[in-house]
Amino acid sequence: MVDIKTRIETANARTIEIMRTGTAQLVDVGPALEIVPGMQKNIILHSGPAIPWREMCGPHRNGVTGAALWEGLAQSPEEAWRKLDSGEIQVAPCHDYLCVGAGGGIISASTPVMVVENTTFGNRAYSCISEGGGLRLLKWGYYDDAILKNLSWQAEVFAPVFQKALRASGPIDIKAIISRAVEMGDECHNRSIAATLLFLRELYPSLLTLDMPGEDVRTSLKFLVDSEHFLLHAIMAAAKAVLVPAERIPYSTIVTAMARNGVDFGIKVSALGDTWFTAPARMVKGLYFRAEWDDNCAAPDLGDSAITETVGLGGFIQPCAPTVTQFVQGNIHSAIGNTRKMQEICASTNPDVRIPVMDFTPGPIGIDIRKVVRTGITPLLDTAITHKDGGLIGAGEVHAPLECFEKALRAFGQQLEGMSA
Amino acid sequence: MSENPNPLLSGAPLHIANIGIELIGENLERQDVKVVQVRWLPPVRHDAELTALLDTLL
Repeated sequence: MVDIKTRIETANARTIEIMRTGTAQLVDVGPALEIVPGMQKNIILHSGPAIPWREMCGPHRNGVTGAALWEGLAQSPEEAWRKLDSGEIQVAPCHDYLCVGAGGGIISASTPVMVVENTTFGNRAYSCISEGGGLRLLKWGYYDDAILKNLSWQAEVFAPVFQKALRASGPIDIKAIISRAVEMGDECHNRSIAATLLFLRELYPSLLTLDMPGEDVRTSLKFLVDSEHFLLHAIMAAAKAVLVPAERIPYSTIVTAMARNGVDFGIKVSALGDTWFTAPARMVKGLYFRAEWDDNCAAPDLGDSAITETVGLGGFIQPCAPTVTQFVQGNIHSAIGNTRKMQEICASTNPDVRIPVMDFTPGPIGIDIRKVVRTGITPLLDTAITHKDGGLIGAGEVHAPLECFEKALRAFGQQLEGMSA
Repeated sequence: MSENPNPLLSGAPLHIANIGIELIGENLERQDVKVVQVRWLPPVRHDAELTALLDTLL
């Protein structure tokens, strides 16, 4: 009879193989209502584990309210809140709809979403489009007339241009872009400028020959050029697309999702299916962009972007992006130290992601909850800092809380007991 | 000048093995002191259930 440790190691190896061999092709863009399975007009998606409307953090409450107004589900914030209280407008986690969203992760019916397909396993995942640069965006839990107007422009002008260009170019290989970008100064979470430029290189030829109104193409092109983090959202969808087939593998102790809703930090574990294991979200340590901001005005850790660390990007490969270390007064030496710690809690390495300053050593991949609990080392995330009332105010890093992993390990033990009973 | 028994103050070349918190070693390196960093974290204390689980599963 195979012992339990061997069963786990075999299951984990299979999980990692699925993550490694999965592909991530950006294939389409369109309104969430038409694209995302199960999406409905009165649903507003948010980042992180599920949380009742009334218990949401400030950025989520603002983001949901702004989306309700933009969709015409309510004519005033007060009306939106009443409908949210009554359930006429519903909220749900992006992850429940195979979506991921940075920051507040606000996705409503009309939000244009990118479609990333894992052709190896035939599944798809989705993410909203970057709203561009700026500290005040819906995704950072802030809305005003200009922000809602920009959302309408994205839905009515940019998304159709982007869709037509994408269909003309054919699928764009996001994994291949990630492999090159990590050798060009990106860790593909807090920094994705190289990835964005590589992506634009793929899109330009078809974008410039579109048979569409010139002004629409010109403004779309300018938006893309101005949005240096544009590809992050596609990278997140790529990570989700790669991770979905790795879910629900019996005996696997590999983490398949990490996300935060500004109140709780949650993880999912392969063998444990769809259950979130949560603990209070932590405060992000980092650099505030203005002197008026400090720890007192920051919201706790927020967003689905930790899906990048779940596939071994971001904080797991900090040495790839020396500039990111400056947010925490770090340096290459400390970044390498961080990657070595992540190696201790991962089951394997990813040959598609190599770290130049570590002699091109492959990045760690496959967070094993057993190793996290044994060592006390928790995943390190590069991330943004959001104001507790909405708005981007800084960037830095944060460690996942150990309690999530302890809860998951206990549940894993109980699952094994149930199987042997 | 009398010989200082404290090696940090004697002026003689220092040979440092820094165990654990890296910040201390990094600060010495910035002062041109040769440091060997030993990665170490204090062992995590678990309750009986987690200890038994880890013994069984890892």
